[in-house]
Amino acid sequence: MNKNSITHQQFTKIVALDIIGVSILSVPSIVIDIAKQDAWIAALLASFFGLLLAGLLYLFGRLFTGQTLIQFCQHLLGKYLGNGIALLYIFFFFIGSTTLLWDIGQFTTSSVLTDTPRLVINFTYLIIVIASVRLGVVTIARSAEILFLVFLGIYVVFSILILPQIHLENIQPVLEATTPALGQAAFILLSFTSLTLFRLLMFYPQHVPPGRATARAFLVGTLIGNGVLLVIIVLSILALGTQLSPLLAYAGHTLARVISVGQFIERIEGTMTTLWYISMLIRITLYFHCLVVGFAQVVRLSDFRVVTLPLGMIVLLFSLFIYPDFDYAAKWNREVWPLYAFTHGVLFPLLLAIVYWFRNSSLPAAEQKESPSQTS
Amino acid sequence: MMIFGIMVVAALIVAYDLPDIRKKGTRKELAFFTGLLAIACVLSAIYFLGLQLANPLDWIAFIYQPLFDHLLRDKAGFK
Amino acid sequence: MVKHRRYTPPLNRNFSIIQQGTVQLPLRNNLTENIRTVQASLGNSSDLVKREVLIPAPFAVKGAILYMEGLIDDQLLNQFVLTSLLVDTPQNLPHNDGSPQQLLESIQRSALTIGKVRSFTIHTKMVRYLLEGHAILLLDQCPKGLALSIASTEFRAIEEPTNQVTIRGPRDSFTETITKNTVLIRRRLKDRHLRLEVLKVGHVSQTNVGLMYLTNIADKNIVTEIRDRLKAIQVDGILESGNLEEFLLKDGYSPFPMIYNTERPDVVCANLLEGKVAIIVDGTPFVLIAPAYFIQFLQSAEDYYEHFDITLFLRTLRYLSFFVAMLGPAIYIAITTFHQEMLPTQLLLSLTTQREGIPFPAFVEALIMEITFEILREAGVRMPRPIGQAISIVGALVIGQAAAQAGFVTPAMVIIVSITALSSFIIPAYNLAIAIRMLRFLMMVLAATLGYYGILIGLFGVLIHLCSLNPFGVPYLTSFAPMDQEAQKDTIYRAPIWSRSLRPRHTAHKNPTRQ
Repeated sequence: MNKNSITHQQFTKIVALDIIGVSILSVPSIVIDIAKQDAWIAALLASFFGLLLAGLLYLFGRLFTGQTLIQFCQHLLGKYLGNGIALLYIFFFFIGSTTLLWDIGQFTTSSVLTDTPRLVINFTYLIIVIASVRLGVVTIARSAEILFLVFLGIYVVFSILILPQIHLENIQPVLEATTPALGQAAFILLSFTSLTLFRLLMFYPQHVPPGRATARAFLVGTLIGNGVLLVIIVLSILALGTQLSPLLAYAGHTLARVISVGQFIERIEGTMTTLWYISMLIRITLYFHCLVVGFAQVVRLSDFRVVTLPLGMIVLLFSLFIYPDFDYAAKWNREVWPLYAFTHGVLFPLLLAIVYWFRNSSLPAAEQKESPSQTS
Repeated sequence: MMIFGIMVVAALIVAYDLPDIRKKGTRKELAFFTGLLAIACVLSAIYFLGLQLANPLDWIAFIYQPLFDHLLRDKAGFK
Repeated sequence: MVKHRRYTPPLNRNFSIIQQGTVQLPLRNNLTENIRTVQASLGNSSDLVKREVLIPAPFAVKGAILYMEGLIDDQLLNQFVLTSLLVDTPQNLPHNDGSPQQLLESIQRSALTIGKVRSFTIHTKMVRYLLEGHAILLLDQCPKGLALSIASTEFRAIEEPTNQVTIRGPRDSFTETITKNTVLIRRRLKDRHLRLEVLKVGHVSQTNVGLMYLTNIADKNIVTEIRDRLKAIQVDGILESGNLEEFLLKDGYSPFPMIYNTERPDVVCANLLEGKVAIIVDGTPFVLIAPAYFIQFLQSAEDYYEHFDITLFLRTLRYLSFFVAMLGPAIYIAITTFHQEMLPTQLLLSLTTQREGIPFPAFVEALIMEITFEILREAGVRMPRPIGQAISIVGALVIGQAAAQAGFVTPAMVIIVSITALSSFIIPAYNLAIAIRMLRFLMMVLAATLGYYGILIGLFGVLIHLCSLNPFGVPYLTSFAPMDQEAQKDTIYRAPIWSRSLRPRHTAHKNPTRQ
């Protein structure tokens, strides 16, 4: 077995945890606010488009022949244009890392440790992230495998415990939401799940050999991730109602709070918090991995570890104030982020694929023979 | 106080990584390491001295906000 | 750069030769001169015994037998060396009047009635043989000598294992002698593929280190890597397998053990069958097994001898206690200082009442009790055996109760610390238990500063560290990550032996089927 390769099982779990990512706590509120009791339909829509995107990403990744997204840009578009696009992507990764780290700080200081300064929280979390990035993708994949087990275990218990609290009438009347509302809810949900999945392109072509099993890993992972979110959204609607859910910043967290079994199992928000920290860990780690590896590849460093600590310091600094306040974050997440993610997650890859197609059809035959695997 | 903290963190980072970089890396790695670290320190110092740092989200919003306002909200009916 | 200059190996080697006083001198013709050189190179050590002999007529050649007192078996010397030389030789050997050299050869061929006889022509070798427990036979007018292997076998008898105790299972354990230990293994695995390679490690101690593996199962790369690392060791002495362990793992630091050690031959055999390599060091009853997985340290030999559902129960208990031992006090600290709301009201009330008279925060309270316990435990181990056990048990009880009554700590804390301590004793491998104990203090600090979030961060850190370990190219967390369906038959759940038809994937891919 190759020491540097990730098994397909591991990759499935990375995809799943990565898709769940930030969404499990805060996103249900936004989606329910827009689509009300039909939010689950939006979630289904998002899953459908998510699967589509996962398939496209897989096909897109096959064009890379073992390069990362950044290297592919450089290779395809040349030094200046390629590096330009690459820098846009790196900037995106930077925004991703900092905003997610801000989320960690915001949630922790508001719900778990109210007296601790945000700097301490962000710092400790980032240390774990930096450590796993420095240890490499294989380590990340292995920890994802174990974290996924823990995640699934807690998640199943949690979902079962919440069942006594649900009120089926909360979901009625069905199909009341307008098409734009559904569309927007799905779009926003998608922007937190599959639209940013392209960060996998920074390591998947190198470490996971292409093939049917990889495609399956993409699809199954997407399905699991979206399924988990769908259940959380449905449970939020059923247990908290459409009136309460949008008011809560962290509906998922409150969901855990209403659990009460026999007056003994109460106040187990810790479970939900753990779930969120786990999926966040994978997502931030991947973002940060993309950031440092991308940076190192743009400036052509031999080892990306060199820049992990300085870049980590910058990320930590910006994570303290990237959103001035919660309202700014809410507005950003609704209005700007989906479009921003769409540009990098769909538009750019599409453009790159078209350029690739044009260049490849005009390439001389000799070069094609040299690298026959490029024609997929 | 925080300035002192930044110096301590920077010193720790240098102590942790510099020996390895000097042993294995080239001049380029060293340059990027020290350069980025210096930028990080300066930015942190600016922030902790109470000065305002530009928020990159505002730049992105500058491009995308009109897009959302005109395209998605007005035309497509998003909220 | 310049600061860290080290001795280069060649320099080191020269140094050792000079230190030992053995020079590459050839043997001379003159017997007395040869003897004098040996005596000089050993510094006229008084335990070097010189017995001068005269091979009787018709040969009438002067000779000498040299040996280190105590290293050889006197009875063997009398019975098989002296008797054959002085009584039988004249009768048995052909009466040709050849040179003493020919005589020596015919003695080696026809007279000596012992198994292992080797000849040598240089002093270095002679001294080495002497120190390894051979008797040396020299003849006058002959630049050659014989080393007769009659080493004393007076060593500790095979006894019951003292550390890895089982209710059911074989009752023999390794001793300090490498030859006996290899025999214990060979008796269990009567297969021609079982290989033993003996290397000498340590330029002063010249310790015999045996490398044992099944050549048709073990991964060739792992064997080669271990052999290379053993050969690369430059040190004066290896006194215990622990010394070797540190040399083998010097590339990366981890508090977690990555080489398994055992005193049970049955465990070694089971591991050999899984394609692992056993490293047997002369002078210690602890045999190393490499590469080791994390799960191995939570398994006991008995798991395979008792019924498999019992094993499932016991192993679940062990995994549970692994976490209790690591997190017990940390969780208590986190809950009482940060997250009181997580407790049911009744319990919270009773805890608060208990804590009313306590002057310390929960963290200090826990730290006092944990350190007290660690002191007691260490005292119990180091004390002379008869006192040790009594002190540790009585001490723990008395101090725990007295501390609670005196108002230093809450009774709840005493319970937590006791449970944690017991949990750490359940873990079968002592070195893993120690690692967890150290991590426990880290977790306590994290819990005291960052509560539940801190514990989670600590767990993430431990997990990532474990995931990054690759001892000898095998993932440390094998059978969890990378997840392995087949390995699940022997991880937490142990499937019945008859259903486990495959060997572990990473070490035994050469010959994967058991049945």
